[in-house]
Amino acid sequence: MAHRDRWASRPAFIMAAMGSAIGLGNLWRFPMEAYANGGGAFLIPYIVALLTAGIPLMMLEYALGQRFQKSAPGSLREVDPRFEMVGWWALGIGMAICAYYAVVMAWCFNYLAFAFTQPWKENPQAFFDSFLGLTKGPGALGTIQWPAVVGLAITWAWIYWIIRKGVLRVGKVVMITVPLPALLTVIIAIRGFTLPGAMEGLRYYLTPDFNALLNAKTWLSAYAQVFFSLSLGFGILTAYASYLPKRSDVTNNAFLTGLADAGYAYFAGFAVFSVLGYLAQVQGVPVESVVRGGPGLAFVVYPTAISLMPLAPLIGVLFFITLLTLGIDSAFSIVEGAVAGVRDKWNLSQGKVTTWFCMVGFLVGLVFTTGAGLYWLDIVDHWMNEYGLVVIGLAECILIGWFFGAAKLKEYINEVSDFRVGWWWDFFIKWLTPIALGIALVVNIAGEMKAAYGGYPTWALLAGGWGLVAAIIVLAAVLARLPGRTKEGA
Amino acid sequence: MSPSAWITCVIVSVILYGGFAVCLAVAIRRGREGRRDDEQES
Repeated sequence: MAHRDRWASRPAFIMAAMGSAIGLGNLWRFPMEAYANGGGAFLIPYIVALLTAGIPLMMLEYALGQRFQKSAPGSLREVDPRFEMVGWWALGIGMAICAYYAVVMAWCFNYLAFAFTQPWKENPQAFFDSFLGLTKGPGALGTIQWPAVVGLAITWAWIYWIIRKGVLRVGKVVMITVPLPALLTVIIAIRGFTLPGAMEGLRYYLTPDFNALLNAKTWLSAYAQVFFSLSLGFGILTAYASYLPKRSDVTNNAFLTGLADAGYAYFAGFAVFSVLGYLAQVQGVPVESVVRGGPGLAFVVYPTAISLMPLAPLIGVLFFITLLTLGIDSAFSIVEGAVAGVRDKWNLSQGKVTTWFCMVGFLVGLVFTTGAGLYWLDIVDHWMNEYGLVVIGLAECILIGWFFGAAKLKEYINEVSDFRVGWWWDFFIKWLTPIALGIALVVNIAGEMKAAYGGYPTWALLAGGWGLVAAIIVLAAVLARLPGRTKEGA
Repeated sequence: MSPSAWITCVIVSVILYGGFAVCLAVAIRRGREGRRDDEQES
């Protein structure tokens, strides 16, 4: 391509990368992981994992995009044409994740509207019963939940509006959608600190149990949390970095993004646990009985706590705006990464490719708006994260570390960066990160052998889990073999 | 909260937010230098 889009400024890129990394998981996954794995002691393996795997791998993805000025498939094709498939696989996994992530955002839109009247006050479990219309299992699809469909349409229209003009508009949008949730989280946390019982909640979050450090599971959880949180393995960071000039600082950008992501997640724990402490005190139960992660935290526990506070509608609105603004940057970054891959290879217009991706994303997402949607969301989420992203991370480390040569990429990183990286970067990319991801993969597969994930029927796990992973691999192989329409893509 | 919780809180904050502040300061300085060089060239 003769001309490549560029970020308007370095801050625009850094904000976009931060926005991509900081998502719903920072708020509803990290605090629960910390709580379940030694409280404050979890922060030790978490910071170790961030510095030894998260940031080094982030530097790898940035360096790939920046050096070759192409999205993930194109950059990996430059390394070796046989590796292009891994790039397409990353984009495929990302789009599968985005299909259900957009549905979670659709629920947030619905709950934002509910926040004014707080209908969950009567029955917090209404989220599962009447709102999702949850059926008995993945085989009983039930009916489509139309409020969720409306929310889904709004979400995809929002994503479309942001990325159809390319990274220039993205750069403007993230100047609002990245600082806004951080500011709102501060407001919610301050509100939380002033509530009775908040300190008890924070005690659960922060009191360190150093015995947990002797447990391999704690370390594995820390590496997994860092890996899933930083938007690694989606091809997003490579695509975003490809819009930077070749001489941009790789190391500092990676540290800024990684530390901002970890810093937000750590702070979000204060907002979550102070409110959980309050809820436990009001209900007269121990904090552990109200602790819940994922959608259960966002749509059941937190709304229940909010409804008990003074100024409940205002706090509810702020909370769901926080979730929406946290989610949107992550969602559109995934789509932008995929759009960039297609554009690089077939030289199509941004608007046309974005339209197609958003339409397909919306249609696929409809499955998750049915009564069985939550079951399918859980299955797809488990397989895409535990097998899709982990395998891609592993493949990136092996392909770059061992085939392309970590030293070669390190040379480029040091040429353009303020902070030089030493032998340790090669060691982390060639040995430590692949070993950590390899162990995570083996442990997950062993777990799968012992018991069916979530107690779901085998056919559902084959269809939404292994089958979907296999389908994405086949699709990636086909896309990699198709001839491109540009000189670079040919 | 227990003293160990407070100590954890302070140490982690220093590492994460202090590290972020250092990286940000370096990026801002680099940006200013870059702009100055551009102005001199033009």
